[in-house]
Amino acid sequence: MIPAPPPITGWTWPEEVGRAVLREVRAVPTEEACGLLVGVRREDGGVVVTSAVPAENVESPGRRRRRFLIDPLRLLEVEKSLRGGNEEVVGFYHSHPDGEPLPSEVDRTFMELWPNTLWVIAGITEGGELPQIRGWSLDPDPGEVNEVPVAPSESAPAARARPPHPGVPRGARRPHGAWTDIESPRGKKED
Amino acid sequence: MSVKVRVPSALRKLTQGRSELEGKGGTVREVLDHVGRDNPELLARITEDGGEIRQFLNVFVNGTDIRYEKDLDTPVAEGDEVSIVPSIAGG
Repeated sequence: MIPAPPPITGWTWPEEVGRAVLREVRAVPTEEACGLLVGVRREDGGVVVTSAVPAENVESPGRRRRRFLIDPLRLLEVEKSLRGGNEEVVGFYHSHPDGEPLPSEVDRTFMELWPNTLWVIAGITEGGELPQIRGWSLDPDPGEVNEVPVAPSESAPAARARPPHPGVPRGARRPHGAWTDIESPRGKKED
Repeated sequence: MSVKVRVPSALRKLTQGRSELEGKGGTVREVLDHVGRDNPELLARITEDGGEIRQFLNVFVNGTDIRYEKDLDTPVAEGDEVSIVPSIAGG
């Protein structure tokens, strides 16, 4: 039995994992890059990310600059590969090609579906500087999105290399949950 | 018919920390109703009051999205695996 995740008190990742995510984000400057974060949760609420697993942004091409959507099958694949170990999917990452690394209203809507999960956002502000990275999590009690500070880890396991995302086959049906499926997202404006 | 129901970590607060539940039934609806007896909060998170799957909630049987099959009436067989995955998206 894996206990239900407690509120996240801090997070960290090895430098090489951070560099890999930055490379990925900068490689698609006009689209939101996205992926899964694998790691371990410590009893004190700290999250140690051990690897970042890129995922294809399967939103419709014209919307990828301001939206991302990860095929849920990608999550199932990764979770299956982790069975039997102490690592799990601890969060997700994505980029904001035109903005700060702050959760948008759309992000917050989906964070409600993933309480106590780490959401790392890389924001690319005007000027093309290195993306700024910040971590966030929704605490379901009382339902607030809080910034999660980067906390050094004394027991961070070594990062693990992972194979690149195989991609979604041409003609594959887009997973349900695309932003275009949303008629009225709880009255919140698109952001 | 015994079927595994896999729950992501984010929803384990609704299952007393369990990542895998055992459900019984011949369709996804029956299996979810069965596990919902002991985990009513989980069932409420998956389905609307009217019994249909909530928006932004995906249910798979052996990796196949039930929306492309018969939704909650999708049949399941002994040993099948039902996975629950909230949508992963944002802006």
